[in-house]
Amino acid sequence: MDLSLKEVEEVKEYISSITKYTETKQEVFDHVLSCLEYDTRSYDLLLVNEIIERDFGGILGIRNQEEKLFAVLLISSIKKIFRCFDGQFFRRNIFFLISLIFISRFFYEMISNGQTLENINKANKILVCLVCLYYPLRKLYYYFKRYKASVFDDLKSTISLAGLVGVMALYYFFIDVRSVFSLPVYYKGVMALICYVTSSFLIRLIFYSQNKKVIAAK
Amino acid sequence: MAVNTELFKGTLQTIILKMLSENEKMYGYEITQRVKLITQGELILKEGALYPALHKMEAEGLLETSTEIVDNRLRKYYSLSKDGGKAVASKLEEAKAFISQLELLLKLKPSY
Repeated sequence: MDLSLKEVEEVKEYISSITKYTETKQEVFDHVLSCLEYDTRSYDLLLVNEIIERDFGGILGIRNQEEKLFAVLLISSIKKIFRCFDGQFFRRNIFFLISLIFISRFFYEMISNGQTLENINKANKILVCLVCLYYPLRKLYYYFKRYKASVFDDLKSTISLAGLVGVMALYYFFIDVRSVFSLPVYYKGVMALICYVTSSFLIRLIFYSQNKKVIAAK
Repeated sequence: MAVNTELFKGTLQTIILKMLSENEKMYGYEITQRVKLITQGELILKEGALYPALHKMEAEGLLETSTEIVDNRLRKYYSLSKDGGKAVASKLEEAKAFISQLELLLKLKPSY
């Protein structure tokens, strides 16, 4: 069947309303239109529903597919980032390891100074506020611009929020002046180092998701 | 007699790899139709199973994707990556070995 522009728009709107990610929306939309093109019956939105029910298992099937897509991407991106920890890691990253010694010394000096920790505390609060503001603002922006979020947006949010919560927890439990557990300064230095290394991997993961999103958009 | 789709779930990756090794690039709907055509409608590849498998293979680096605008809409094409190309032969060998074991097990073919 040949569809008019209005009918194509109607199908697009409907599929947009039942999908969460732009990637799934595009794939389902292309699939449904391909099916409709080969269908000899006349156009009806019920026909679109029938195709989605038959081929994807309905709205629930699409949701399941989106959840699977998210899980697959999360696992594969983590694997990709941590794949660098192979037998050659220490040989390849000798400068990184040497730099860690200097960084730990820096953290030790920083933690010994209560004022610096107070400043970090303030910076943390600002960071948390910015993150808390960023997500609702992005949602609003997408809503008004009628964008559908990419699965990589969700991936980025999950990684950054999990990372932020993890690193903040480490900081307030072990490093801060009023930390839950009082540790000697050198242990605090080790904790700061763990926070630093974890953050650097999380940042890599976030950039990886961002790059993938750009590729997906292209 | 229509084939129970549950039976070929484990070979879905092999089917996709084989299809893509014979065609430079394919999109989801095209793969389902090709399977339907080859098996004369006996084997229906459900999109609910196909797309997650394609996404998984893409994430594993077996497939590469490209998008093209066809009839004013984005179409995602899947093609074999370098790793995918290497995996085709081993996956086919695996499938052949599995089928011959299944034949023996179910006594579909006399053993010598």
